[in-house]
Amino acid sequence: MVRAHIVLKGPAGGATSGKPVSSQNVQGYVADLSERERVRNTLEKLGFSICRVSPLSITVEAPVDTFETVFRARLKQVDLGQQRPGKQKADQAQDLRRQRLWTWSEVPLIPPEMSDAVDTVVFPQPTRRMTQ
Amino acid sequence: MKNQSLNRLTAYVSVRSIGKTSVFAEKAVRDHNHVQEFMSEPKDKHLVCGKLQDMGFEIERVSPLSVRISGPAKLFRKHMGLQFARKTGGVAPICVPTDETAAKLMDTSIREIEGIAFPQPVELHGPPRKSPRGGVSPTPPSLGYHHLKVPSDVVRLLNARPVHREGFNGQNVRAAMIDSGFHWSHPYFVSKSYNVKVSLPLDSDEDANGHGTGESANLLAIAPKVRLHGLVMDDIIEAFEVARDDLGVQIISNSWGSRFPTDGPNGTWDPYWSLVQAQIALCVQQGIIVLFSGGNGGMSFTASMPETISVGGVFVDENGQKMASNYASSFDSTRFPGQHVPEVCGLVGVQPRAIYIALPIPLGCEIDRNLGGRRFPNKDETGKRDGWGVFSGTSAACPQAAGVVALILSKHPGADLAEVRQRLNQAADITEGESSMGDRAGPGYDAATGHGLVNAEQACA
Repeated sequence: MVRAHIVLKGPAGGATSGKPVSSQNVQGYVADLSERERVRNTLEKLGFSICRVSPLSITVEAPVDTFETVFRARLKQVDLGQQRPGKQKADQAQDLRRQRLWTWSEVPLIPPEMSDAVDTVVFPQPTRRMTQ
Repeated sequence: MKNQSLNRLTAYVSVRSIGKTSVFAEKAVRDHNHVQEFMSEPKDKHLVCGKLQDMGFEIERVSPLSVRISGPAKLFRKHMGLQFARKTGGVAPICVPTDETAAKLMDTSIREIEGIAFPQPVELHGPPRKSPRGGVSPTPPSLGYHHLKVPSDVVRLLNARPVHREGFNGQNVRAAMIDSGFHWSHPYFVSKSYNVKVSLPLDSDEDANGHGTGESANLLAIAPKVRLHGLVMDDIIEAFEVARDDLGVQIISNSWGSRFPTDGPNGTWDPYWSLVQAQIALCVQQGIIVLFSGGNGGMSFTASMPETISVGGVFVDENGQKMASNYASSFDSTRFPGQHVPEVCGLVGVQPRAIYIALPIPLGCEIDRNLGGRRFPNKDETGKRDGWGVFSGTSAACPQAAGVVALILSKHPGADLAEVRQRLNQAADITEGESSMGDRAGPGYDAATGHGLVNAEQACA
């Protein structure tokens, strides 16, 4: 199962559109309640499990092929072990092996029934704890 | 079987049986002569497996009498209406349906399923298992090198004692930490009666790495009466949403950043980080003070965002001399021109591994195993399974500063981000040392330590 965030559009567009976001303008990226529900219902019909609906995005889970079918783009899994530069430290190496990174191989296409309300689909990126 | 947690529960499903009675029904199985009646047709098992997978469950094993599945508690809640609680009294704590929802075990939405059962606590009938060395100690082992203890040394060096004596300890303040996990049943935390709760996942006591457990002791040392919520960072977006929308916290402490640079000359970007940035902006817009570790030689946008407070590192040696930590990051942001990291500092050790503060961690966790052993400064000389590790990084500095923010808010409840920043910046000036990037400390504000080492008494004045 893959987890992703469906980024919603507010009056100012989607938070991932590339414009600077701050506390001063973030409300412009908050989606209307009715739109959130509409997108949620559409996603459920398309086969996604809804984990959480929030002002900026909807978190979903689904098998890889559901993402690829609905958004008409292929996913690929990135091997974080090879991506990691520098010397391996034991706990960070274990951490990276645990974090699975997915990414799109091509630009995803938002289905027409939600394209006015959805900006894009993003996948979690790897983090590091600031101990070492 | 692995200990059950709300993140991953295992259950056994009884598929429509030849004898039309679930193997889980009370007194169903009489003896070996009738056990065939509880087996299922392969096509029914295949059908059920498909439906369960569509719901999001993982099929772990298909066997003659049952199908073993796993999934997070929320899937069981969503598709079967089950709520869970932890049960102890056996070999290990285990999650089972609550008494109120147990009746639903035989009632599911897939008509080919006759019932579902969950593992129950068991006990070993052998010699009692002794914890290593008689159990985890609430106090750290004695060590032969300069290091700090919680809470005493952290409180002393950040000058929090005068604030505590005035009666301000973080009471009536709600804070959150987003981290690896929180094993707050460790005897250290229990002995202090801290007001803590793991809110994501609810009531989880797990922390396989140990980082969140250990670093939370820094925040609680400075603000011992704060209401601290632990949020596991499996899904950062969800963690911010829960902290902001569900818990209404006033402070969020983050001892993490992007794994690969997202600022500076080598910085790259993914749209995911834009969503994280927007989540943080929404927190700030709703009045939440968000702090981030400044980094340990790396550059993450989380620290350089204009509306987050970045916390770098200051080392205090055995003679009380303060200097910039050569382990902590300092940099001018290229993503947010005009922004510099750090803004203020907390206590951080020095190269090679910043082994500095003795912190309570889950017995045998990754940090326990990886840091334990000989010899300092590459290992911490504690045991590999003693529930204590000596570490720091800006991971320690951030929750220390967050604790000072909690003290500020307990004394000055209406303080907004601008006032909190102004107060935090009344810090102890650091004039010696250099950061991991080679920025030098000097009189007044400097590139290595920003405004200096946070000083709780000055910040709360």
